[in-house]
Parts: sequence; structure tokens; C-alpha cells
Amino acid sequence: MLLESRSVSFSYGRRKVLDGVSFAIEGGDMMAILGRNGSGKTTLMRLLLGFLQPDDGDILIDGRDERGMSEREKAKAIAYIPQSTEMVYPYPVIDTVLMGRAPSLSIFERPGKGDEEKAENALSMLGIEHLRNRSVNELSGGERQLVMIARAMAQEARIILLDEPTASLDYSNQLLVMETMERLRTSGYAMLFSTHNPEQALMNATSVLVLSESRIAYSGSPEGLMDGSVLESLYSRRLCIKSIDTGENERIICIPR
Amino acid sequence: MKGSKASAIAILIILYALIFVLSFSIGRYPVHPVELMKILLSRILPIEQDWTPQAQSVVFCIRLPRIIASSLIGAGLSLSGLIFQMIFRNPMVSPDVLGTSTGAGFGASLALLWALPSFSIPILAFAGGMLAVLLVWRIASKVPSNQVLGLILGGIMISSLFQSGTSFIKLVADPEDELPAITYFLMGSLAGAGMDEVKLIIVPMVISAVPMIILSWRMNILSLPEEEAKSLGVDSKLLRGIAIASSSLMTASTVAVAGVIGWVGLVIPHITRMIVGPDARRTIPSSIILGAAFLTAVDTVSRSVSYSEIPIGILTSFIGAPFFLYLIIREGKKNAA
Repeated sequence: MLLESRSVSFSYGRRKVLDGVSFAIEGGDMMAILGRNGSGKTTLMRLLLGFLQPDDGDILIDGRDERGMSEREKAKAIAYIPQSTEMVYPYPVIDTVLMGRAPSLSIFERPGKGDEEKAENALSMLGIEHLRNRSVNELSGGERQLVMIARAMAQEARIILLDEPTASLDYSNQLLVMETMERLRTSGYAMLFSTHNPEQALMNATSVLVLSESRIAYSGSPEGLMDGSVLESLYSRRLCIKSIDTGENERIICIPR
Repeated sequence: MKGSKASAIAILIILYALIFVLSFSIGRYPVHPVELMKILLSRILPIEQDWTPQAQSVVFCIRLPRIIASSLIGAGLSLSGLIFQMIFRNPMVSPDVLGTSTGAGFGASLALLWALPSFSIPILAFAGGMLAVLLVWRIASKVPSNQVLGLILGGIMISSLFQSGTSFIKLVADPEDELPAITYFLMGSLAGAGMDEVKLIIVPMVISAVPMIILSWRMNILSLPEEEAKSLGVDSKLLRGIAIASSSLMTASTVAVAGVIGWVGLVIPHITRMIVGPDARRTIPSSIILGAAFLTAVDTVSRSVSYSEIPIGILTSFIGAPFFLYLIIREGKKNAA
């Protein structure tokens, strides 16, 4: 397994945020984490990235206990795309993507030709080479997320963690980012993303983890959520979840009753 | 794009060279550029002496040490400002942010109050500056959840404490003798800068600038949010520690020989970024050159516009304060857009 969480528990002081969370993902998987505000989604991300240490349980990256790994080793294995990246200084896109090469370079090294090529390749694979010299701060939200994805690709980590990747994006950019994530999944990356949109989890993920009151309320395939019971109790609303045929493909909608 | 930025650095070097030569030619005993070149080259080439011994003495004993000192101090203040702005992710901070300048000013004032021998002024200035940084560091470690905020707030607190300490020293100082010396020192001036001062600061300047040049690419990553930098495998604690120690040493060194010269560390990094963009691989060398050029130019003005020399700290404030206002207005417009 590329990334595994074994009975992970974590508390902020006396408040238990996560209790016995277990799951595992492999290359080619895309796991969605659903949960209401404060359900521990972000804490779980921070634990997986090694920013926090679990009180109990273990996190294994490619079979290795994360506690025994250096920051650089972790960064070679897991790339992280935060909800929003605010750049204080207007770095051009290419320099931002090049930063993804940091884990592969020692502290005294600077990126060389090979690293620059990897950054350029990441841009062209996502079809955003035309943004190369633009400042990241001038880009639309969707373009910026694609740049962050390009940076994750330049990082050459096989696991990509995305914290609410489509939050605050317009509908078209939401679709663009989800489609890009799907392309990365099919090319072998292990993807894990948190979201407040159940439709994204049902439609794009290969597995779903539902967190409720610090515990796992559901862990399994998106199909297992189609009867609505788990999501209805999660959001305390009656929901209608339907798979519809658009004429070109099957889509899932989740709307309140 | 890369080419245009590289040529921008070349232009900055030429600008510095021009200011360097002009600075010899301006002042009470002007030295003509051709004569200057001959005098300078005579040290390495067999050139027949057709200049007066006074001109030679002005070049080697008065102007050269002062120009080297102003270049080193300008470069140091500018580089430390740039580094602080990157690691605190805030373009409005300057070397004074961690209380380094005020701590060093306090140390120097103490030496002047106790009428200690002159070599002790830089030593106490160093000690004061470094003590301020260590105290701020200690305070910030009590706020592990947001160390940058801890550092900035700790800096404000320690700065104000040392400022009060300096005010107290002024209060008890002899108004005939010590008080004017302290006041003049704190205004910032290069009037007393000679080869001894250059020797005193050149080592700490080089020791602190070299790691910044070597680590320049990584400094870019430090300007990302803390967790993002960490997720890129960067040991941000170690890097930030090196950067703070280097910048503080640079700032304390400048205060030790020239007093408190404000604004350079705020203004020059901004202009540098405007010229070469934000990449630290270019901003670090550029801010060194531009800082050196700026302070040498301002120092030339400070010693030549009036009969009695104007303390350079006053002039840098006259330039820096309006520039800061311009920045505030520009930022405001950008945010409104």
C-alpha cells in the first residue's frame, strides 16, 4: 500500500479529533474524505503529512512508519496542495513549479537543467505551458490549482493530498480541476482529497471516507453511499441521490429532498 | 525574460561602479576620475606619480575606507531587510523588526555612557543586537503554533524595551559630553568610518552573506506558508534560524560602526524586486549591489551638501519615509483593484 493509516487517534488537548481512523490507498486510487466542518478532515491531512504526530496508531508510507522518515523523504513520497496558496511575492509560474524539485535537491543544491525540464514537462502535461511566465498571483483560481498540481507532479511524489481542491472555484474550474485529478489517478498516482461536495466524492472517487464526530462513519466504495443513509445522517438532511444517464455517460446527482 | 533580468544585474553593477568613482570626485577635496584610476592602479602597476601626495592620502586614507564602509553597510542593511521580508512573508518588515538595531543602539549607548574605550562600542553594539534577537527568539518559542507572529510581536516588545533603556541612558548621561555623543551616534553616521571600521565589519558581513547566497534558491520556499514549505521537504526551522542569525549579525555589525541607519533595509529590497522580480537567486546579489550603491550615493551627499556633515540616518529617513508612503498607496490600490 502506498499510504496507510492504522487506527490513528489524535486529540487537541482533551478534545478528541480523530479516533481509530484506518484506511489504505494504492496507486490508481482516488479517495475522497467527506465530513462536516470540524470533523477532523484537515487534522487527518496534517497527520498524513507528518505536521502532527498521532497519539495512537501508525501512518505508513509505502510500508514505512512515517515517524522514522525525514522531511525530505516524506516530501519525496507525498505532495500537498493546500486549499489556497497565497504568494506574498509574485513568483512566475515556472519558478513556482520548480519549487517542487526541492525534496530531490540537497540543502546546498540549486535546480539544474534536468529539474527545469521536469518543471516544463509538468506544465505541458497539464496544457498550461502558456502560463509559464505569468505571475501566480495574476492567475484565476482554477489556473492556480493547476499550477499547484504541476508543482506536485514536478515533486515526483506518488501520493498527492489535496485539501478541498475546488473550494472557491467557479463551476467550470471545479470540473477542470476534478478532470485533471482523474487524469493523474489513471496515470498511477494515489490521490486523496477532502471535499464538502458529496457529488464529487460519489462521481470522481474510487473510495470514500466519511468522518463524523471524530470517527469513521463510512469507508468504502462510492456505490455504498447511493442509498443515502450515511450522507443523510452526516448532513442531517433528507437527500435524493440518483445516477442519471446524460446520453454520453453516467453521472450522479445529490440534491436535498 | 531571463536575459533581461541578467542584464538588469549588469546595469546595477555599472551603476555601482559609477557611484563608486563619482563618490571620490565629490567632496571637499575632489579627485578627478582619471587621477583616481591612476592612483588606484599605481598600487598594482608601475605608474609614474604625477599627482600630489595629498590626493593620494585623500584617496587611500579618507575616501576609500569610507566608500568601502558605506558599501558594506548599505549591502548589509539591504540584504538583511530582504531576508527578513522573505522569511517573515511580509514586504513591510525591515532589519529593525527583531529589535536588532535598537538592541545594538542600546549596547553602543551604554559604552558611550560609561566612557569605555572606543573599541568597546562595536563589541557592546554586537552584544546588544544579539541579546535582542535571542530574547525575541525565546519569546517566539513560547508561541509554537505561530512562530512568525511570535517573532514579530516579540520584536516589537523587545525593541520598545531597549528603546526605553536607551532613553534612560540619555536621561542619566552627562548633557555636556555623553548625551551629544550618544544622540549623534544613534542618528547614524559614517563620519568616523576608517580602515579599522572596515576591518571590523568585513568578516561578520562576509560570514553572514555567504550562506544567504548559497541558500538563495531555498530562501524562495521560505516565503511560502510554513506548512507548504515543510511539505516540500524544507527544514524551515533550520533555514529560518540560519537566516535570522545571518541577518541579525549583519544589522548589528552596521550599527556597531555607523549607528542606526533606518529605511535602507525596507526600501532597497522593494526596488530590487521591482527590477529583477522576486526570485532570491537574483534578488540577493542585486540587493547587495543596489544597497551598496544607494548608501554610497547618500553618504556622498551627506558629506558634501553642507559645510557640516549631515548624519546619513537623517537623509535615509528623508528618502525612505516618502517611499514607504508610496508603497502603502500602491498596495492599497492593488488590493482595491
